[in-house]
Amino acid sequence: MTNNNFEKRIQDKLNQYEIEPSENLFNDILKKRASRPKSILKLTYAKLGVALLAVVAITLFVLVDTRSNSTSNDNASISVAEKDASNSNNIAEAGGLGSNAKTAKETVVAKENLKTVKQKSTTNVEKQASGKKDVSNSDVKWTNNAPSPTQKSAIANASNNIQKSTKQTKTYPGYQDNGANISERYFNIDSKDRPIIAGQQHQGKSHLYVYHSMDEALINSQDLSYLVLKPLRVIKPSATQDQIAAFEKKQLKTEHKKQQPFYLDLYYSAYQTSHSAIGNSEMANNYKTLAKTDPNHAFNVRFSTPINSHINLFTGFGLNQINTQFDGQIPNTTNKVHYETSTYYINDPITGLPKLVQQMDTILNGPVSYKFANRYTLVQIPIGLSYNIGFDKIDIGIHGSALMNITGKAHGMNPDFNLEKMQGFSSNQKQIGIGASVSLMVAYKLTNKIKIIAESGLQFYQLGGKKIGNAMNENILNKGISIGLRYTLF
Amino acid sequence: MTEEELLKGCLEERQECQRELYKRFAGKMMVVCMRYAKDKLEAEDMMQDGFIKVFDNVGKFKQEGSLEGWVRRIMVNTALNKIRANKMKFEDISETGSHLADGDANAIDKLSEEAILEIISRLPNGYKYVFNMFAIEGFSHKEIAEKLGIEEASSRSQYAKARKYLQNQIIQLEQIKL
Repeated sequence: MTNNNFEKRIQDKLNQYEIEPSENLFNDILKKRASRPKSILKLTYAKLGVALLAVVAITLFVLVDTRSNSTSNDNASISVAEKDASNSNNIAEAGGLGSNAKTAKETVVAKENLKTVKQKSTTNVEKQASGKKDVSNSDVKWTNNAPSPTQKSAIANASNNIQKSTKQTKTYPGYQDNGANISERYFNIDSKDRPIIAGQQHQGKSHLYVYHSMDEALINSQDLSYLVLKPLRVIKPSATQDQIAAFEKKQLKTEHKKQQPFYLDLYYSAYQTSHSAIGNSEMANNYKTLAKTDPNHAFNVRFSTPINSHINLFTGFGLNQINTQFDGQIPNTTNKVHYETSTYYINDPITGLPKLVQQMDTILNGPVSYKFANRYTLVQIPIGLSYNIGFDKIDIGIHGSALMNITGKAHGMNPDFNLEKMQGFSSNQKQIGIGASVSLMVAYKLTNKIKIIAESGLQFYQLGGKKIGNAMNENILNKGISIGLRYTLF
Repeated sequence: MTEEELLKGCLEERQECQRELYKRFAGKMMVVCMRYAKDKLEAEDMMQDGFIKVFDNVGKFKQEGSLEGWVRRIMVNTALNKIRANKMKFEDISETGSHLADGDANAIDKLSEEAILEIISRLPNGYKYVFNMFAIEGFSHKEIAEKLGIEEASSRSQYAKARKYLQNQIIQLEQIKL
């Protein structure tokens, strides 16, 4: 029979043939479809990691942007109100206070407006600076105390200068004390000698500047509203130099503690995983022959805080999915011959059809191909230290940690190289292992609170597969890169 | 119900359309799965997964070929995914015996479909997969080699052996019947 005829006749026969499946199969299909998890749960770790990072990044940027806009709007309101108040003052001075009721009334109204706007602004900014804590102006008690002569002089200078500045530009000339630029003593200053107060740019002595200024209008009308006003509640303008020094020492100590940052890192890691079986048995060697390098990934959360100027302590957790791939050929060292007996049935007692069991001599030789993969789902908990060096906008950190791995789920195949068969295994049993990790991190500052981080490193750990059904324990070496965000919590 | 209406209904997850599509192809697809499975239970398992893929991906069917061909290809791929974990076992099968001559072509026609399926199912797994994929599904040896993880030359030689074995079996069955 020609080639085409044989295949075509078989095809024709089988393509027209139908076998009825079980009655319930369709219902089983519907049930299985309905019982599957929703599509969002089918997202791979990679997609989930990227999606989470995107959501976090967008949220943080929106929050930062909103705060910035809010501050700008408050400042704009202050300027309008100040201008209004200033005009009213001029009118009042020209006509004489009390001689013109209408003018005096306008002055009062303008000042009230100014006060209201400033209070609102101060309260808003304080809320932002100290979280949800509500700090009202009534908490600031220092205004009831009379300043010393030196302080009065400074206040007078500051007040005069600030009034001039509000009419022209915001040059902050009030930051002068007896000819010296006191702002430089307590703040980082910009090119126009203005203190850079926003965020964390002050040098931890901002309360002293406020003390020297001693002018509520100055404090409220300028960017000093960024300051945490708490120190003003405890120090009085009449304080002696010793008291001020003692206060300063105490305050700086407190501020130092408060300034200890706490970082939250969210990052996605992509790995190239090399793996090998542990041991030198024939099976382990076969595993090593078949082992392939393959890509894996993880989504990580890390918390860290400095324990000194260069060293951070960190921990966290990572959701990790590891596939160990095996693909290749194992050469047979011996030939095996299998004999089977022949049994012929003229008619099969069940189907009634002629049935034949053919005798076959089975000779196994040559290499045998294997291809399979084992999959492990891990939670990794690192505990370690990092050495950090900071530059202008860039931080570099070297991380080293011990890893605790908790294997949650595992499934895969167990090959029997002698019988040349494979059998599946599956386990939900939790298994704890240990490992180590080193990495080099570079962080680039996006805002005061957010940095983008990139990290490259190695992880080494063991998977105790034997206890969860695998034929071998495996050594895992991950070479990976990570990308994510570092958020400074406080 | 036209094929277009059927597809539209399946896309809208209407159960009566899904049932209709299932009814149209279940019998034939069961045969496809039986050719790769070791028993009916495994074949039904393959078919269940196959139809889930069909219903999930019905929107991807481009009406360039026949719907039956598309469903069949999904079933074959599902079956191959299921059996991929199994090691390809190519035992030597007897090559002795006569081959079907052109004049014996009727031997196949005389056999029932069930008998032919039975003969194919008796082939060792490796031969069975290669024969099914080449002779019935129309895969090339290169495609078979890729899908089963074997050498292309191995696919060719095993197919030739499987073919001779089947011809031999058909003749023997014919003789037994006589």
